[in-house]
Amino acid sequence: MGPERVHFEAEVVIIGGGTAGCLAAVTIKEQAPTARVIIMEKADIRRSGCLAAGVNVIKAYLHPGETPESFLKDIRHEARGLVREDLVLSAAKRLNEVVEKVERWGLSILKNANGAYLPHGRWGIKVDGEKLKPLLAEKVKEKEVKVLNRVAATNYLLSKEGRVIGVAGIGVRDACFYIIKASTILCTTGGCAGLYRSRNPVDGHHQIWYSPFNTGSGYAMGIRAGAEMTSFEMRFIALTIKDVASSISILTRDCGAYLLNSYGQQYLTSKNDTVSDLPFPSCLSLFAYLQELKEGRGPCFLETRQLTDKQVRELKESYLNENPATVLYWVTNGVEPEKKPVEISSTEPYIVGGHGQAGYWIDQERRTTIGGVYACGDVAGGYPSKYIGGSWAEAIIAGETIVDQLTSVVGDHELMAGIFLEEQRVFAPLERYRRGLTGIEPWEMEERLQKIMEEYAGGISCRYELSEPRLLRAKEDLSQLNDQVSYLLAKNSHQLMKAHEVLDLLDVAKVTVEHLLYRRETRWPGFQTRVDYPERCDLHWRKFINSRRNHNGAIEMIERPYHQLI
Amino acid sequence: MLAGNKLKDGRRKKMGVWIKREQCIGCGECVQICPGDLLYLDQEEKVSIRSSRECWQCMACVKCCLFEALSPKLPYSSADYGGTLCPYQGQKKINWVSKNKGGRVEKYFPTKQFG
Ligand SMILES: Cc1cc2nc3c(=O)[nH]c(=O)nc-3n(C[C@H](O)[C@H](O)[C@H](O)COP(=O)(O)OP(=O)(O)OC[C@H]3O[C@@H](n4cnc5c(N)ncnc54)[C@H](O)[C@@H]3O)c2cc1C
Ligand code: SF4
Ligand code: SF4
Repeated sequence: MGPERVHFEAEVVIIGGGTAGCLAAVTIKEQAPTARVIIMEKADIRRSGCLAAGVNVIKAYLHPGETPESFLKDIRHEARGLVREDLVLSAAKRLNEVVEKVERWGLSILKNANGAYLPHGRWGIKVDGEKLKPLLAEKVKEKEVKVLNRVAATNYLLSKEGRVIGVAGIGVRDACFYIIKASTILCTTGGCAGLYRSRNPVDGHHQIWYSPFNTGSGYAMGIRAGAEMTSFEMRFIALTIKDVASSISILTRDCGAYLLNSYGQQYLTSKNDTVSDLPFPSCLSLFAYLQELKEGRGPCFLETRQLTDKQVRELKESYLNENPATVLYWVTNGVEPEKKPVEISSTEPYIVGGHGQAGYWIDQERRTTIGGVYACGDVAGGYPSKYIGGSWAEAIIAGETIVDQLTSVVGDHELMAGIFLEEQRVFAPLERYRRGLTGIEPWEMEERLQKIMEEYAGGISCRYELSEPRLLRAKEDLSQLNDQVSYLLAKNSHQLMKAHEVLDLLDVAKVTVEHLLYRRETRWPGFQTRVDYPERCDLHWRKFINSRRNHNGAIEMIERPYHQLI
Repeated sequence: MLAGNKLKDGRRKKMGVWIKREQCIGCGECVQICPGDLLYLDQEEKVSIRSSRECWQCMACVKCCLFEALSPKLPYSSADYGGTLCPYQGQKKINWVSKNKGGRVEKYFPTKQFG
């Protein structure tokens, strides 16, 4: 007997009710109040995605004196000369408007005596955002958006011509099969953690910087549907407070903490104020840190001894708003930042379009290459250092385009063919368990995948370094792992979700490896260090590397030119 | 199904968050909120966690529990045993109280930020 089917129909489905998804939903309802809008969310939109814990800072905002052009120049610098300038410029024009909009909804933004927003570095503003996600969720509810919490999307449903006609998903709690009919879908599922082994062992498996519950399903659904994807070779690796993997932005921006090696030397001294929280573009700051370790001058620290007792108290209160584990870590381990510099370390690599620029290849209106599918936020490519402000700006742009082009929902007829196949694919791991067969549990396959990526595709243990022979080995091993998929086993609906997380990771991993192989230069040292091609080569490689999975499952690589607009 | 061993003070060990069982009334709010789908109500209608290795330490559960039954727990591989950080519900705000290994208590009212 098959699973229970649950049917819905809407003009617009938003997959992922995170930072971008919630804002897009409200934008669409504001402009088209009668349109039926559904958010499909694997968790609960009140605390889901990257911002589940809360935030202190919103990036980016154009403070007085800054322009979309000055913003673009900085992003281009951060991205080492390769960025979709059209995407950055179109978002930059909306950055301030979105922040002011969310302020009207009730977000408390810190201000100086003249009423101007308090800056955090050149591009940030300080907010009291511990409850930002609950606030967005409240607004979604007020606008009568239908929210399907605990439903994880698994695949787009496509017409014969390859246009989207719906989306399928699993009930994480009820194990039902969800089918939503819609001709317009906005994908906002965030980026991808879990491709590489975690720095922390066993119990600390998910003690990572990026949300471990964003496992690249939006990327994977796009890959499976033949969408064009860009820049998966620009991975993102953060420098964070060691062990708890929390952001160092408050320390570097607001506490004036600078980087030290173990000999007390300040190893990065530029005062260049970029979107990065560090003196240089993020990748170069990471690379400098790795060099310190390699040459025996690690571990490295952030100098915090200049802080007064009162400042340390305020610092802890800031962390309690966005990452309470940091304070617990300091308390239990007797760490006193005013007495001893705070140790840093680098995270696992992530694929995330809001920090790196991996994701859907989209046009200025945030349309993907699949008819009817839009993308924004961390899942969309071409615009790195997007953060909250950029994700919101993209959500408004996508939302407005969607409203302009609202189409009616297609008939059932075409939908049915895809549904049956997807149902079988989705429920196979549960079915295997029900039939009493043995097999592989999701966590086992995840470990195997992470081991391959760690060892052959530049994980922490090999200082993130990449080379052709190792990448070819990764490709071979991933293809072998692919043959094991039919043995996946899920005992309940939670495990079924986990099984699909692993399947999605596998599809993302295969594309990542192809991209890492293809770019035969080192454009982003640290993020993408090709030890066999250590130089950056603008003559041949200042272009986008894109890919598309064809009908036979092979990944075709595509080169797209870079256009400099300013 | 009971996960982990009970400590003298009623908390349960081997979990991504500490659970004070006698304070949990089984309202299910944290079960609703956890972004990883990790929490559930067990046969005694008390909250339990499926797997500590899957916890992100986001504290969404800790902050939503009006009965202060949950508090953060770090993996032993990165933090000593003995210190605690407990939330308490203030007006519209979560306040916190920490205790280090030596028993020193500090209270925090995270209304404002650094700088
Ligand atoms: C720890 C951390 C701290 C950060 N701090 C800041 C900061 O201080 N300031 C700043 O400006 N930026 C910050 N960022 C960056 C910012 O949070 C992201 O760029 C932004 O949240 C991206 O928005 P999004 O909507 O694309 O992704 P998210 O907000 O992560 O939303 C993705 C949503 O999709 C859902 N989802 C995933 N898969 C599925 C599926 N298969 N089916 C249904 N739903 C699914 C997820 O549950 C989630 O709700 C931070 C990021 C991290 C990780
Ligand atoms: S929110 Fe608190 S009281 Fe309610 S189930 Fe969770 S732990 Fe128990
Ligand atoms: S801390 Fe976050 S991930 Fe861990 S159990 Fe609580 S809500 Fe879930």
